[in-house]
Amino acid sequence: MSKIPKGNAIKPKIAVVVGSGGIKPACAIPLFEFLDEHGIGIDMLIGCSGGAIVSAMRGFGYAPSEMSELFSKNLTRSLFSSVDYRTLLGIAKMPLGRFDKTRGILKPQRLIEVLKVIFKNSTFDAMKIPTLVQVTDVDTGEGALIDSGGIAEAVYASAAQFPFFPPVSIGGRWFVDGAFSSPLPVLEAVNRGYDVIIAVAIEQQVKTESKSFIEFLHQFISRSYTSTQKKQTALAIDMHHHEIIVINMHFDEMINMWDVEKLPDIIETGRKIINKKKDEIMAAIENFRGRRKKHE
Amino acid sequence: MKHEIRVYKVENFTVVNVRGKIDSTNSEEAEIDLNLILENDDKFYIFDLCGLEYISSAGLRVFLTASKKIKNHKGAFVICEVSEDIREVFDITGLLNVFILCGTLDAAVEKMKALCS
Repeated sequence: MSKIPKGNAIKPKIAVVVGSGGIKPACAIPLFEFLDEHGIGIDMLIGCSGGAIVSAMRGFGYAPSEMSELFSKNLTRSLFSSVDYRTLLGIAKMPLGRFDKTRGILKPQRLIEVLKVIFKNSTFDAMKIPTLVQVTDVDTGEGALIDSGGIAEAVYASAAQFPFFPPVSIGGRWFVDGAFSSPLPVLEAVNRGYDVIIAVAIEQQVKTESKSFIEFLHQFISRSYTSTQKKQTALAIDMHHHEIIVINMHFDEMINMWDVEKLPDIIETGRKIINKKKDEIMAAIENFRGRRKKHE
Repeated sequence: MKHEIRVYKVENFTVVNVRGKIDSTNSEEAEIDLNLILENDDKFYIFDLCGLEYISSAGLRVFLTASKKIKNHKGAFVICEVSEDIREVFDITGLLNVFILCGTLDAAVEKMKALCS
């Protein structure tokens, strides 16, 4: 497989989009290894939810090996176990309880702190590659993209699955998980005119019956996201002018955000699927040159 | 092989058999070829994709464009004889919700009769 020569005048504009899926978007790490290995530069990263963490890490300049390490080291079960009992009481309308749109079942402080450590308290100005983070406005239900301000806050908002995690206020608006509006923001890359769009979609299809309410809810939400994702991808393909390579990362077991011990398996799954897609990615880039030459 | 398109009739329906591969290197040619076929007076088409080995998003767009043309003329079309790999592409790109897929050519003919009645 040939390397893409640098400085080519007809290099396509390349965007990488990483969709939602908790910790599973870490399966996109081998994609970055492959792109680095072949000297393929990324012009824009767009991430949603767990995919926002991965995209922002890459945009911030972390190497693929560093990304795996940061995931393993920082994402622990304790980040997801700090229950806000006052909110729980509020949901049940019990005395001393309190619930409003600013609250969630879990306390987010530890997660935000970890994200601040990962992104060194930086703002989007520090990004090495322009990066957009998909969020959802909790008041309107509309999707929005964040590309300024604190990275940790934006990434948290993108991954804040309400009502588990509370919304966060950024620029006077309250934001939650971007997956509620656009689990795989391919349309955003199309609207911005990128020629080759590599979209990493996460699909979790668990065959076994859910063992708990939370598991059932997660599975239902996951299926609902997949359905939205497919509709938006179809529209994106219709509107686009060159190639969108959808890399479907399929998982058939339940993997929670805190299942960091499954990280090596997640990355290995990603590696196997990326291996099958390498030729398609290279062809889309090469064909763009051929197409441009033909039209000149 | 890039792409090859053959046209034949089954029970008054125009069957368009697409073989080979369609990606950004030949999608424009494939679209021109399909446009020529769609210019006739027929309204109902069956796209037989047996022998279609690979399709990229640019190739999928060719079928979306054809679909709009057919629907603009108050026609209909179904797709049949799709391999597992191609079916997966239709699935992950959300196009299973857009197109009508039938397993076999016979099933496609029956579906088309139902659509016409």
